Amino acid sequence: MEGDLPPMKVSPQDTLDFSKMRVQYQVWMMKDTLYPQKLTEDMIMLQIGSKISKSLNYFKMISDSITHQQIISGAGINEMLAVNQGRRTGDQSLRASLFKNYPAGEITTMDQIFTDRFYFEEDIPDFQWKLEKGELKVLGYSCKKATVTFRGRTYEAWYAPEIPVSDGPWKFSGLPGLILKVSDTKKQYIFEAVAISGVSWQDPVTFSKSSLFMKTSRENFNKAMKRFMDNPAAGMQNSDKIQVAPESLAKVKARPYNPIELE
Amino acid sequence: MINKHLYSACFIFWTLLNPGYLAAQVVIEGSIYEKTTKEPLSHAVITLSDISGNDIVAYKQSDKNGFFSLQTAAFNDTLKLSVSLLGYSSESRLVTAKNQQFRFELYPKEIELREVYVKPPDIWKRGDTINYNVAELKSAQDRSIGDLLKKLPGVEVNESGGILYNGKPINKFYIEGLDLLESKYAIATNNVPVDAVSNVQVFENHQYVKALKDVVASEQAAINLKLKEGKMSRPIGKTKIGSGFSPFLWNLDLFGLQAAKERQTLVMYKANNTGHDIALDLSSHTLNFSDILSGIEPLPQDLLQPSAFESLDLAEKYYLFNRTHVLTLNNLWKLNEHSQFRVNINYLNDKRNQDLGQYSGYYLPDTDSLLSIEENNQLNNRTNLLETNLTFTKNSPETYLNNSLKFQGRWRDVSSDITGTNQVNQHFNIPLFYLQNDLNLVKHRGKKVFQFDSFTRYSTLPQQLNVTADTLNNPLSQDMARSTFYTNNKTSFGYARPSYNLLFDVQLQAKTENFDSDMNFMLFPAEGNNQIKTENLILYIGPQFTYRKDGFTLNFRLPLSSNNLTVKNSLTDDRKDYSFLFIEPSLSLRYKAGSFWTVNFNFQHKNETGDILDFPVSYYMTNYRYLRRGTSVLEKRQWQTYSLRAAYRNTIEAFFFNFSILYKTGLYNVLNNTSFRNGISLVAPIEFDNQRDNWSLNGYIAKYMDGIKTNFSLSGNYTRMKMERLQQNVKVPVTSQTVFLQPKIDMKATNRFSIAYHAKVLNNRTEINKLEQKNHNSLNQIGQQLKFFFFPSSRWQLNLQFEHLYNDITENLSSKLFFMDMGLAYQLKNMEFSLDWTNIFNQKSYAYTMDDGLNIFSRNYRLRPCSVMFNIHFNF
Repeated sequence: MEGDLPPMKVSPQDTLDFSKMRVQYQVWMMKDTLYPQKLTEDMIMLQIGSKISKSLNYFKMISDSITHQQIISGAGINEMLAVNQGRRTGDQSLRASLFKNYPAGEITTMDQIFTDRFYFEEDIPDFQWKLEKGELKVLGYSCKKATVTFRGRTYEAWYAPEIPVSDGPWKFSGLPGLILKVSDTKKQYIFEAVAISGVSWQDPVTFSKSSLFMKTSRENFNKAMKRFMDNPAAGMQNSDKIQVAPESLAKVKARPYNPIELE
Repeated sequence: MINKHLYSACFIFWTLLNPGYLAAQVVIEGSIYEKTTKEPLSHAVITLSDISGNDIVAYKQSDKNGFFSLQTAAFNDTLKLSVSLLGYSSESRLVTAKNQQFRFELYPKEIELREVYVKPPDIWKRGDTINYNVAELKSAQDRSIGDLLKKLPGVEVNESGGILYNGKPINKFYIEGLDLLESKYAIATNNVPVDAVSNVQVFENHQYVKALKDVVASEQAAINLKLKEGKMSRPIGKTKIGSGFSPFLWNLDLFGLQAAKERQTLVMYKANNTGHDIALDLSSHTLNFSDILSGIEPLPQDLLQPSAFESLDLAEKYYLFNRTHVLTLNNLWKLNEHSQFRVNINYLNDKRNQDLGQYSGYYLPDTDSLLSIEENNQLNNRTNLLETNLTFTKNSPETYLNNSLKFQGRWRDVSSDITGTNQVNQHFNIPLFYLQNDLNLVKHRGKKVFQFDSFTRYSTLPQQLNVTADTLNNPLSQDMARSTFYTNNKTSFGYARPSYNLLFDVQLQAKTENFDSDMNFMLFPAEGNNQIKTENLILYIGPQFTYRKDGFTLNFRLPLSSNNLTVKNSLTDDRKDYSFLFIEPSLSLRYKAGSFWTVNFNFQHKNETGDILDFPVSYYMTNYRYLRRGTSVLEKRQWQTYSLRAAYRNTIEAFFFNFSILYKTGLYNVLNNTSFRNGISLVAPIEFDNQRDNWSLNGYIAKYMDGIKTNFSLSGNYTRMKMERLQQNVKVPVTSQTVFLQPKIDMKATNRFSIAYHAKVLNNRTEINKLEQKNHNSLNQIGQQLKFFFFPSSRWQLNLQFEHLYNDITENLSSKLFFMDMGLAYQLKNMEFSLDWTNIFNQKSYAYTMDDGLNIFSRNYRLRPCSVMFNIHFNF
């Protein structure tokens, strides 16, 4: 007896815009300030549309697009074993998706804590950039320097006036050119463009409408994330399916927490 | 001219006075449009710079109307105003320091980018794999890989070594990509030394059947251990050796694993007499809901019930008197890219003793009197269990074939010496043998999927009971056997669309059973022999409809089964034929209302029938105090269940709440009657329609307080059961109510110190009509536990535990116990020393009472004495 294939589960998506170019940034993060020599790597992709831009975790984007397009990978377990050191380590890497100018004038951030997914909106920050002297070549583009203090960290950014896009990785924007490199002065967060491409195909900037995302505010989200990192097991024991014995609870250590936003 | 100079002079003077503020502002405004359509263009970058373009004086972006406004201090030179927008031509004009307005019209233009590509990392085609570097996460306390797995986000490891990922059990546990242990992976979680592992990989949404990859999404994850290079060529392992008193205590663990990519071997031997139940290491973990739903019948229960070795509401280390050896051998060969062959052999040798005083009070409603039996029971249990499992698996993108052939032999002997009212010795010989074959086949061709599952099992329980008693002239002996051949063959097909799907299950089940019992001694004038044979054929069609929209899910099932049963009694030549058609609709609704609320509703209608044990018309003994028989009437049970659940989860405020209510009502066609003769219970069903009602309310509320790093929770449960009972041929309605409350406080002050306080309060209340009068009985049980954990340094660990138990025994009598335990551990790189001091106050016995409305059972168990145990663990 045979039948049609049931489709894979895909959460509904809205297309907000179409991207004009894509920029891929390598990210280095100091997750634990006790081990300053150890930086964790991650990769984010910035899709720049004519009105809206989306910054998302590169690895998440790929796994999502695999699910979405049902690419038949044929990759077996043994091939999976060959996977390089994973960058998607889940707990503190930049795996949030950010939508700039969606809704108009605001940024929507979608992120998760343990198994719970959240989204929040905030005004596009008014970065008080100071344009400074200095020049740096990034990917062959000559970049100019600007500095800003934003939510507890002072950043040094390098933007390319040659690319007339007032955007950048994560929440950064507002310079007369695309930010290709930005890092805080303590070198705990470093973003650097590693690939730039125009888009010759229809590249939709999609937004997941899944009702699994709960609305909150930036302040509350950061507070809950800090709580989870301080005491990960406390969050788990209330997830009503999991029983955590006090012995295990005692052994679960606080996780190092060095968020990009300090205030 | 003069005017202008004056202006400048004033300006200079003014700026000198106000160095921080340049007063004269120049406002340059403008609008940007598309050249042909005249649509305003937003997000264009407007810069004001020197003529070379190097020094930017001011910049802005155009708004949604294409408008911009640049404000800048007055300047002397001529500056350049440039307008550019990705995908459009750029324009620039020269400007002088005066307020002015511009209109720009840009035309679309090919984007000119110097493109730079990077090679996509290998992860591109890999699905959702998360890699963890063990060296990064490992801390000094971690010994087995299970200790480390607990620290990974989303991973939970339960007490017996089972793993949950994001709240769901994992579906595979691989070592170097091979599934060596299948569902018994707890052996690995508890024993693979953390030092042997280089990486832990979590495969999210893991579909292990390659033929179903990209066809059926999986919500379960799998875990893979990658071993360190040097650890693959030689065996790795760990040992634990320990000794203590009193009495003489010992404990030995040996574990070895050789895991290459083509062949893997795992050997484990464990033994102890310390009250630690190592048989748990052999338990299964990946049995999940879908296995239960797939309708495989559980193994028949033992015919003889020694009424012993029940697990108590108390840690085993306090009451389990044991001497246990466990040996497990696992071998896996990879035959080619897609095929593998596996042999798993487990052997258990377990000796247990239990010493208990038991009081049973049976209410005799015909005479309104109480039959009391008081006796001591000394139980010795000896179990030998051998299990072998041969599995062949082919897992290619077109075909998945898994065939597993399993044999289990269990030899179990229980002797029970009873002293008290009577002197009785019972000897139970309770073996169980079964051979089963489980075949799963999935074929994937083009857009079609074909699935077939076939399960076949033969089981036999040739069990024997011998009784000698001071009231018996001759020893009593009884032989009993139940053998079952069972097969279940299943295929399923479906039709699916994004918002709904329709699935059909077709099952053909066949079962033949034999039941024989033979008592050598006529205790009562009744036939002592039974010889029954049943044949059962079930055809099952299970249509299932699922609809999903936004947060709403509806699932409706309408299983239809045709059930044909033939029962033959060889002794009476009696033959009965039954034929039923069952329709068992069920409906489940789930609605995710808003961000935090989830509401579920379920309804189920279920028909159940009895089995071969309904037909033996002569009594058979299950133990010295229980004789049972059937009545040749097939039991029919009809259940309806309604449940409603609402849950609120707010992680942001760390506040959780859920509430559920369940009502279950059943109609039965027979009711067991218990009558007593010479202190022996005779249980026989009587044909009589009766109803049973159950109500159950459950609630949970929890709040985490950030300031004191403490989680407070309270769970509560209320159940009410109403049914009729038959005792001494008198019908007695019984109502029983249970209230259970469980408050918990968990405080994790720092990484070095935590406290947990858990309590349980249980009240059981029964109500029966005794001679037109209502009679109540109420029993309380209270347990409290306080635990402290200290980690004074990364090498030392100290824990302290206090436990207080209160159980009502009778109206005026209660049992109070106070336990204290202490543990100390010290760790070196490949070694650990631990010292455990258990039952410090040397509590000697544990007692409790159960009341089922009609009868009261009190038990008093002897406990293990105060003990001290020293262990050394080391890894190699």
